[in-house]
Amino acid sequence: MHEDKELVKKTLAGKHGAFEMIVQKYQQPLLNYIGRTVGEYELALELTQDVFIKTYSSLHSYRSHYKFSTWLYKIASNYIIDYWRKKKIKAFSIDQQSEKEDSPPPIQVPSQETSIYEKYELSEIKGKIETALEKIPSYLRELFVWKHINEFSYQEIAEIKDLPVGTIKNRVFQAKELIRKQMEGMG
Amino acid sequence: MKCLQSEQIYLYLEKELPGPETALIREHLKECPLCRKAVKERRVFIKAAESLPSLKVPQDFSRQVMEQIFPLKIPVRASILAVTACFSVMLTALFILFLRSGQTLVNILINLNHSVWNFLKHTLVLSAKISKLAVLLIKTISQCIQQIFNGLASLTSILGPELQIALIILSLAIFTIIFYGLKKKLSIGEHYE
Repeated sequence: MHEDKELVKKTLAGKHGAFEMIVQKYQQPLLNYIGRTVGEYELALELTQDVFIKTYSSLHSYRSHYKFSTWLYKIASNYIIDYWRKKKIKAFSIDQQSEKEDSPPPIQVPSQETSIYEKYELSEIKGKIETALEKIPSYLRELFVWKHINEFSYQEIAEIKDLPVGTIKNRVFQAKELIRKQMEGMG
Repeated sequence: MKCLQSEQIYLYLEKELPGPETALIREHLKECPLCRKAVKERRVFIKAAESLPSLKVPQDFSRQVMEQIFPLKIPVRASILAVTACFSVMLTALFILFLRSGQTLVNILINLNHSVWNFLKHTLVLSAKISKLAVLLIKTISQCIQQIFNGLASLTSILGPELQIALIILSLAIFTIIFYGLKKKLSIGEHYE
């Protein structure tokens, strides 16, 4: 983290190479996040590039008491929401209260039926997850991607979204259950 | 302990539960095959999600980003220097012409203008003609080669392998006779000299 702050300082001092190092460090995780969230590779590349440009132009407003990666993902998340808004694609804001938000989590009823996890190979399950991921609301998809693809902690996600950890945990859980339901529907 | 709730299973797998609750769940899992199955399923699900392949970043991605942020700019000082150098060279050339020809500056400029225009006019016409000829030549050669290949293809489809070999030998013999005939004729010419 200290390294990121150093790189930001050098970039602001006019050293372009320092910002290139930031790009090289975050291009892979950021593309994974944007790509899995928007579901289109070419669009994801374009948006990732735009996010880096936006990050550079906002660099003067970065405050060093923030973790740089948190700040970067916050920019990315807002950028995607703006993009969807402009394209008039139904995007759910993370702050939007879902109907089931306060309903108690469903009680686990163990089943004796053969599940898809027993029927299919891991590679096939991965394919089904990718398909199911596209069918869940974007505000849940984003959180699922951060937690299980970017492998962020609940605390980190809560910091990015400025929401309580409990809310994030609950929404990631909702995302997982929705994906599992979609996968079961695929047979 | 009651059977596990779905959220509880995920938090257990992600090690997000406090120690005493984790211990209780472990005890329950020893006794309950259905909850064991539910835990196993969710473990496979999380493992699959966490091992989804990374999207491929193009090799020149960071360079592209940097080019967008910092488009190539020629420094102002360098541009001014280049323009000044061009003007200096032109003025020096004009001054030398003025000294050597004894003409007025206006006449020198008019003559220069005519010369440049004539040069451009002739060069453009000549290069257009040359390129037209080159295109025609290439077209003719390619058509000839195409015809030869077509002829050979139809011949090989008509003739058997023995006849093909005989034809190749005959062609080689004719080629050798022509070659030696020409060589002899040329050497006769040399004797006369």
